[in-house]
Amino acid sequence: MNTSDNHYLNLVLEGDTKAFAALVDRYKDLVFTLANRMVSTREEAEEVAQDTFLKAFRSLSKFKGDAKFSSWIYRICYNTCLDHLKKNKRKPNTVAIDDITEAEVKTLESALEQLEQKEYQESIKKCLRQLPDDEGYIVTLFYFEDLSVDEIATITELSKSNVKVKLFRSRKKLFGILKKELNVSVN
Amino acid sequence: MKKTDEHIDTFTKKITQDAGLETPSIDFTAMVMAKVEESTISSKATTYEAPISRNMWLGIAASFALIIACVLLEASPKESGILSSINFTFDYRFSLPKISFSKILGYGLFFLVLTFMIEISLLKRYFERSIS
Repeated sequence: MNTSDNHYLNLVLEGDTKAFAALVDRYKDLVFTLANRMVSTREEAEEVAQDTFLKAFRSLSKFKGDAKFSSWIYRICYNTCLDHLKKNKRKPNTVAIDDITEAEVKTLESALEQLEQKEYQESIKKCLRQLPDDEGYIVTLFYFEDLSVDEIATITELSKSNVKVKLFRSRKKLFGILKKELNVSVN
Repeated sequence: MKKTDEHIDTFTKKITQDAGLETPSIDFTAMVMAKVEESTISSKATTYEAPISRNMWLGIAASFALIIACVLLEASPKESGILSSINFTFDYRFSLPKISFSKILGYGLFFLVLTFMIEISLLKRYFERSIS
């Protein structure tokens, strides 16, 4: 566990509630990003992220120091997203998985290179949000947070092979979404 | 094919990292902390206490003992008690009206009670889940 996380956790457990704000500040962007890639709208993601921190605060005494605080909070966030999806409308799962050729990858890369930095980032964010169910969540944990398949399996309570399959499918789906979004055609 | 998969893997890593993180509203931390403070106050407010305090139980026990003592004292064979003036002889020779239930009514009542009990347990579980 990160030493600073531990320091703030001890303060909170000793009764200094305000010390929790430091942990919220530290993880809010990532928790919000993860939630935003699983639920439909930004407002819902904000609500889910707030609930995640509230749940974490309430069950802080149950947190075992042998796991990373970050992994623990990602797990709470994942479960809160699932609860939210159960109650609300899910994102449509209609992304096709097509075979991709080397030429297509290169064409898409050059199409992205032509975009302005801000436009480039916005396009990718938009496409990541379009990944159905928990795929955007898993992709972010694997490729952005550099978590291993084992760690993701623990967070999501899925089997390792299931996580691998989801990663494989999401890569292809993300590619298809980007191609459609940028209107790229390969001859 | 394997080379293409590796290329897509590298490509996905690059774009996911380039996308960076998204930021919630400016007052996000303040809103979370307000909820946290609220939950701390409400958890203090809902600290459960026994509806009947220890002193009240002692009072109840003392008054109960006093009543029993009075009854026992009055029950002893004395001519000058308050109870001796009351005539306790009672004529028990009366008959209750015979009520008969049909089998269908019996089954109906049985299943009504059964449904009620199942519903109570299901509702209890539902509310416990929604609270936790």
